[in-house]
Amino acid sequence: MIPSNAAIAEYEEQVTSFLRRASSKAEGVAALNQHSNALLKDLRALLPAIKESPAYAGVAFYGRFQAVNLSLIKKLAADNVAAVAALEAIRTGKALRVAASAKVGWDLLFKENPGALWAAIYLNLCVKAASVRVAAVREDDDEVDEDQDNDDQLEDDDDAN
Amino acid sequence: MTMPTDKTLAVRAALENGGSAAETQLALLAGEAGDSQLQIVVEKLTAAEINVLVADADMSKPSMAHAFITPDQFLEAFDRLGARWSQSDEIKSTADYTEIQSDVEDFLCPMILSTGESVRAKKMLEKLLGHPLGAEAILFTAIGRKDYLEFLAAPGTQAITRGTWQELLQVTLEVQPSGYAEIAGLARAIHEDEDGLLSFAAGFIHAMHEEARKYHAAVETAEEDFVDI
Repeated sequence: MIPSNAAIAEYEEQVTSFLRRASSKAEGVAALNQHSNALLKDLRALLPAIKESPAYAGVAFYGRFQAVNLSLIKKLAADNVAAVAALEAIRTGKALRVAASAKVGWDLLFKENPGALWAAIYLNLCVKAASVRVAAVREDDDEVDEDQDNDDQLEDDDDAN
Repeated sequence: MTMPTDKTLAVRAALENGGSAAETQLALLAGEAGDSQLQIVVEKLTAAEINVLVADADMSKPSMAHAFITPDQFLEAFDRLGARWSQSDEIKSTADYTEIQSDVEDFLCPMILSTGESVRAKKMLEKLLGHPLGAEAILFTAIGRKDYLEFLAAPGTQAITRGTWQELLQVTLEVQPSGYAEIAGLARAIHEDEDGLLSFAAGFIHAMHEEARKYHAAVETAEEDFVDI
């Protein structure tokens, strides 16, 4: 299940509030990274808030996902696949990598609230406000999906860097 | 007619080739459209762009932009100043910080003093002294200089050299006396031996590095490793 419109709106508002306050996009992203570091560090304490709104999970994982097969992730979202099944399809399809610094947070959320983890992926990779920091996959990486969506996403990342 | 936005873009494009290229572009704009347009263009620049623009300037060669940089732009540019300095060097002697000291003086003096307008100097100093490291920065331009303690002990009675730390302190005394008092208090708190000065200098430089570091967090994070899930 993808996040509700309210959660998406809240996530977008949180992200854009950082970008709006900064004097440049790069600075806004830097501030967001600092904020997301702090949230990841206290992710366990944040679980109740994340249960209320997965937007907090989205912000905590801001920039921490690297889409390898974005079209698969978008298809899972479009098909409204249940969170656990979506995460399993992403894992078996090797459609996603997570920043090493966020792996502990990934494991925690996977165990405690897989719905919020799937929401965090959706918010970061499928919502426009979040697409500025998806890291580019290196050319020598395996299984890179060449579809247009992914290209768009990577271009967004290039813009941000 | 070229719009201010186009002119800003032209300056930004020139900045890619460094501050002097942008300075040339600003001179062209000033010649074509006058100071009022130049002001509009400079006010659109980000603090990072301002820092590139003024990197090679000093009081003998201020940037055309200096007269139009707003107090907010000045403060944001100051916040990033530490990014210019190497973090690897230890401060073991006066010689280890004199280059940075000159850099701070060359940054602050044109920003505050180059127009010679006391109203502008007051606004800029008010902003700077509102920054946690503002008073320290002004004091840092003076520490260890010949006669600086005498200068601080008897403000307003010493001869000053224009465009230097001396004028900076003198103007601060005139337009922001409470800020000057803070600087004088800081100076008193520094031990008057070399270790005290070195400790103050090292602390200030480190704090400025920390201020600047937050603007580079994005780049650092972007370079981190990603792992399979």
